[in-house]
Amino acid sequence: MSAESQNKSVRPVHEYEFLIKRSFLIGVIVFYIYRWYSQIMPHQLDGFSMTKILYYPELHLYKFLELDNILIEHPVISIIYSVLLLLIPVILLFKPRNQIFSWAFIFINILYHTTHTASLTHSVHFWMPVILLSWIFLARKATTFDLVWEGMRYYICLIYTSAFLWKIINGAFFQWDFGEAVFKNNLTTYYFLYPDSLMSRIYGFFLENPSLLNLGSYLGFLVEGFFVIGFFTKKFDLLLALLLIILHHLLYLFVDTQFVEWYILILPFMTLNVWCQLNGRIPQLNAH
Amino acid sequence: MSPQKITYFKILRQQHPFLYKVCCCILFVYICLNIVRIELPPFFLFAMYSVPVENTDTQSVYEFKYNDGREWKTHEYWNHHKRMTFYYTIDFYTKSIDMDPPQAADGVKFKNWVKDNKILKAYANKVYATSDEIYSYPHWLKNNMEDILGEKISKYAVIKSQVGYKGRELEVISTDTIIHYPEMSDVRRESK
Repeated sequence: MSAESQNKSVRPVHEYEFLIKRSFLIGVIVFYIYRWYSQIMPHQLDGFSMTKILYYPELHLYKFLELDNILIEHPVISIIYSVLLLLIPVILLFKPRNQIFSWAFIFINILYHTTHTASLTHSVHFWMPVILLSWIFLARKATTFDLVWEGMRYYICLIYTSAFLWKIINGAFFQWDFGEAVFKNNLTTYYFLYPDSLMSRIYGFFLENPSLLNLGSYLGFLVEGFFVIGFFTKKFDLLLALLLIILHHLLYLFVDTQFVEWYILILPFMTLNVWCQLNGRIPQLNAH
Repeated sequence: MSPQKITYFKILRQQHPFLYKVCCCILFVYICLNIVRIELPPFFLFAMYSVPVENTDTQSVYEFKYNDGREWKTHEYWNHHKRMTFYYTIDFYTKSIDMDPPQAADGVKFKNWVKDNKILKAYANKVYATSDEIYSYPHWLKNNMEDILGEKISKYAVIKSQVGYKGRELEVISTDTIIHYPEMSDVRRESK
């Protein structure tokens, strides 16, 4: 296969490997600071009293090994755990190719996802993007990095396409008033507590016109389904990145579920031109 | 089928046979887990909000009032992660404490399924939240809310209201005090 045709299929981003890794790490560090502010770092969970594990195998293992007793309830270890969560990405920022810290980064992010899910008594996917993209640190060679980064892009397309397909399989797609039902389920607390706010006035308009909510939910489904196009062409990559942000922002406003960590998934959709421009503006991020 | 994805896999196989096998394995495991509907990080199931939701005009609302009756409100745009712990855990606590006897709401099916199997029963008791852990929730919530609010809480109440939509207006149908710390949590414990 010629190099030219190969480049059309796999973006040769290895030139910006350090820039990409550091951009991702800066995002992760910001998320951890936000979580510190939000009181959901391990040492801030006050040795939570109860867990909900349902059928999730990792949560069963977590509870069976009594990891919560060590990681959350111990006052000193829980602080060390929180500090490590922030410290490891900071070290990787300076040494993005360090294999020990790369593995530690992957492991501790999966562990933190488990810890947080257990303490929240609810299954959430907020930390999924960080776990997903953290695997890029295992790529050592330039060609491997290109292929892994490209694979991430396809996996994200698969995520949204499967989310769309699940709505058809499980039936939400065929419930006409799904948007209104979800809105009432999730936003009633806000509407009740802040009857005079600007957002409540906006929500009031939508409650009087529930068809708009239902239409909005269908548009959301279609945006998820639109990601299937990513399997066929890269022409719409920047549009997909924009849609990803708009989708999650609207989900926050109308479903009250903030997937702020998912914004990081726009990175694999960035074109070579974007990385080139960013490298020109902040060359320090790509320094070896 | 385009070419784009197929070409990617072709290149993968040619350039990096090991990574190609890893990707095939990941895809295989991902599809299998999707079929059996099990989530095992880093393999996630993206089926959230895929099941029909009952469109009802009656909804539940939780309120947290503390000390001299002040109400905790933190619905600012940037405070989603700060408030989610309370709203998710109070819902799970309410479901669990209302059971007779109080037990982790998520473990009921499993416990009924294992019945008298001693090993599985011991396992269930080990992994699912115990009644003591559920009873300790009001005290945990006090500590957690003190950290979030940055002030001491001597007493607090969690009130669950049933509210009904009349067009765009809301009216309160009923209210129930779920926790009245420190008094009522003990009373509920004794009454159960």
